[in-house]
Amino acid sequence: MQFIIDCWNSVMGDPTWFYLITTIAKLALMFILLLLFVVLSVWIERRIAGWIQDRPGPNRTGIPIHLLQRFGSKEKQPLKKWLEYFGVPANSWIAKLCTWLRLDREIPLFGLIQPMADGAKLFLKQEMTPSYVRKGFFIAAPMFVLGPPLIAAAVLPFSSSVDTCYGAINMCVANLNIGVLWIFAFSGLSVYGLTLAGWASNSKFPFIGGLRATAQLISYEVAMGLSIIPLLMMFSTLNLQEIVQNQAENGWTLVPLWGEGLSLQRWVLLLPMCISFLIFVTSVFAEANRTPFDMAECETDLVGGYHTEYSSMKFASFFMGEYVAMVVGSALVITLFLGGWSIGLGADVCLADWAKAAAITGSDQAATCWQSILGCCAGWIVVLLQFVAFIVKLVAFVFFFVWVRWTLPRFRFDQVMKLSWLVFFEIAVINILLTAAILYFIQ
Amino acid sequence: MDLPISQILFYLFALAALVSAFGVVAFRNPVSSAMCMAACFGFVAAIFFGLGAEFLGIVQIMVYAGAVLVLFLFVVMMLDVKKEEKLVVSLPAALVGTCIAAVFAGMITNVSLSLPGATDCCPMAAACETPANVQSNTTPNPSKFGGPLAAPKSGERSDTHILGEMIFTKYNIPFAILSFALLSACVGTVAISRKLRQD
Amino acid sequence: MSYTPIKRPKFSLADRIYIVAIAKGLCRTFKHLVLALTRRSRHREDFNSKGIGLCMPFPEQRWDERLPEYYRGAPTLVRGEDSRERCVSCQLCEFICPARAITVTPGEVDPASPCAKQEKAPKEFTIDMFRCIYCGMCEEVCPEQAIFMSQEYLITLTDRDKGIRDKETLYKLGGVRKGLVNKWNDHK
Repeated sequence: MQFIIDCWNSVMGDPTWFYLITTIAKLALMFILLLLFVVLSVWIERRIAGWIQDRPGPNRTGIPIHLLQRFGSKEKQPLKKWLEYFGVPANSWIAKLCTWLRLDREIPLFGLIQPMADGAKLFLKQEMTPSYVRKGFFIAAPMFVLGPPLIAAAVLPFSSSVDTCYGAINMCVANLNIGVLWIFAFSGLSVYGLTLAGWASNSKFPFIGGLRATAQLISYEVAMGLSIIPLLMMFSTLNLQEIVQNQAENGWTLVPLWGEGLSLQRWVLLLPMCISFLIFVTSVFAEANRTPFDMAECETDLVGGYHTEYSSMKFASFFMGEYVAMVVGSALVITLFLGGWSIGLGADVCLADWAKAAAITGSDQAATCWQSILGCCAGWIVVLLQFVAFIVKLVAFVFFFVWVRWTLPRFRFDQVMKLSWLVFFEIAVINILLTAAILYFIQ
Repeated sequence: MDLPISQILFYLFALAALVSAFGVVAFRNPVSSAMCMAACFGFVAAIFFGLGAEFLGIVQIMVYAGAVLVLFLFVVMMLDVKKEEKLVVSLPAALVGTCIAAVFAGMITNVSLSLPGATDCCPMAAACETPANVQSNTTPNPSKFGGPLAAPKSGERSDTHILGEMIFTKYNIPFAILSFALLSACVGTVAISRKLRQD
Repeated sequence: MSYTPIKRPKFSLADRIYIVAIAKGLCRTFKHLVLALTRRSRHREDFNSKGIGLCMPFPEQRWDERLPEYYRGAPTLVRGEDSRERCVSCQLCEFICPARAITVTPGEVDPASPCAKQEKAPKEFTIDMFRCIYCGMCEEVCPEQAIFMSQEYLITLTDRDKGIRDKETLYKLGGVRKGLVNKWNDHK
């Protein structure tokens, strides 16, 4: 036992190994988080689409009980047995609730298994590669769609940093000084996938879809980049972790209610920030190829758009890439405008102070057992709370994405381009000048 | 063998960049060429990242790979690929091209040999240690390629700051002139491509 | 003039900014969402629906009594009131069937039977329910009014062989049809 602890200490004591191990752990966490969120957002999408259209959505898919029977359990009605085991009478409200939740037939989980079933279906489908395609690019295109958003997520901070006895861990896979640009650059790269898919398919509808995707993504990249500049001027950093830290201390960009956020300048800056927010959110919709901007795959005029010729897991890669882009886009919006992992109302600063104080009392010789345990865990508790705040915001924004999708009809392509170049571009540039004036004149 | 990982990575990326650059000329299919060029941009950006010039690297990806080359691809896809693939290179054109390339290569070699630390094992890493064109006192100083695991240190200014300061103070006028040149090119393109009305 | 120009409405600036309209739309869909979840959707009583929104959860709640009269379910064979096999195995249905689901093997009618005048009756008559597309062309084409689309919509099988319905099954499902066809009466 002692040997293992010594090994652990010597490995973690080396800064290089410490950095490597923590980075890999964060990487795995971020990757799993993203993929889970893809699954979750598919489920959210389908359930909410159902509710908005007065129907339940996929609520049946569960783990059927007879599957358990197949794996050895011979009981015909396990629910009854379980209820008897716990001494619950068969006509009590608990039993009724269980029956209402259909626990007597399956473990339903509110249809959460549905995306898994979809995935399994796509895995098992026949892979069709038409004979007339450009094979190399045809196979590479889905990778180009799925890869870049996953890389882009590397700079997203999902919690603040925590001090351990080996060193500080920054809860962000790559705490780069150019975080915002990193996301822009890589989310822009996914356009290669769409373009190549359209071209390599060697058929006319995918080609039109690919061209539309290219034009749309380039246009909205411009609007997106320009809309964010006022925000960067305000925070004067490109580092996402620092931006979120600043918001945690001085009020979220759109909710300046504590810290320095109460100053006159911040309240006047709210106007350009709101304009930025509108432009940015719209551009994120366009970048993620979501309705009302899903020009590239609008089935009414382009069959299936750029993925017409794709089937099975290649199609699933496009599908997943789209959802990952959506999740990363939502995460970026909440990171820049809604305080990222920050809990809000100045709670982050208080929590950080509390964690520090707890660590000091915990390391004291006179500390009780509980105090020392709390001292060890305090930092982690704070990080966990902030992580939960981040997840809650992310889910809320994904819900917003879905809500908008099932509300707004699709734009026409010329309207989309006009919106970007004739409206957003101008407003964003004026917004930059406005922010500069406010920053200069109102101190 | 005493090769630090930084040098291995540097040579790996440099080699990959060269190979993909060769691919741009070697491939007969214009789309393949364009994708090779994108890969080349990516590897050059990786070298920038390794040297601690994160801003330059990401701008390389964002502007060149993300925007300019996509426009290229956009145009290239409109071409008749089969016709392009059958294109035969004539001898005089190849000769002239080789001459120009040779002159250009000579120039590059000459310039890069005159850089400080050019004869070291890893020339670009050494060049970054004593930046010739950056006079700021607080330059990032990654001791080797890859840096101290690229973790930003507080108090040290990022290359974004330095670059911005250089562009908007020392090189402000050339920068403005360049912007105007691009703007005029932009306006000119619009003027040429616009159809004249008959009436 | 071959077309009439449509007068497009003039939009004010507030309309063209579009944000108000988006907000209104979002409110409307959110209202639907909330009503569906609290089980207060409009027209819910009309459907007597027990699920979320207007949905009738299928196996528990069926819409059998709401099935419209014109509903086209699985095709079946019928007998007349005189329990005569109406089908004379002319094979028109087999011929017209776009999915080639029907196979008819013609046979002769026993001369001693009361409907000997029709001479032919199917020896075998199978409908492959895996192929049937419920188009109703067989019903349309039948000169003897022997094949009808039933109201059966729930065709769920655990065995592939049961999907191919033979003559007995089809007659059992079709039952007796009212209205005498006097064509093959001895007195005619």
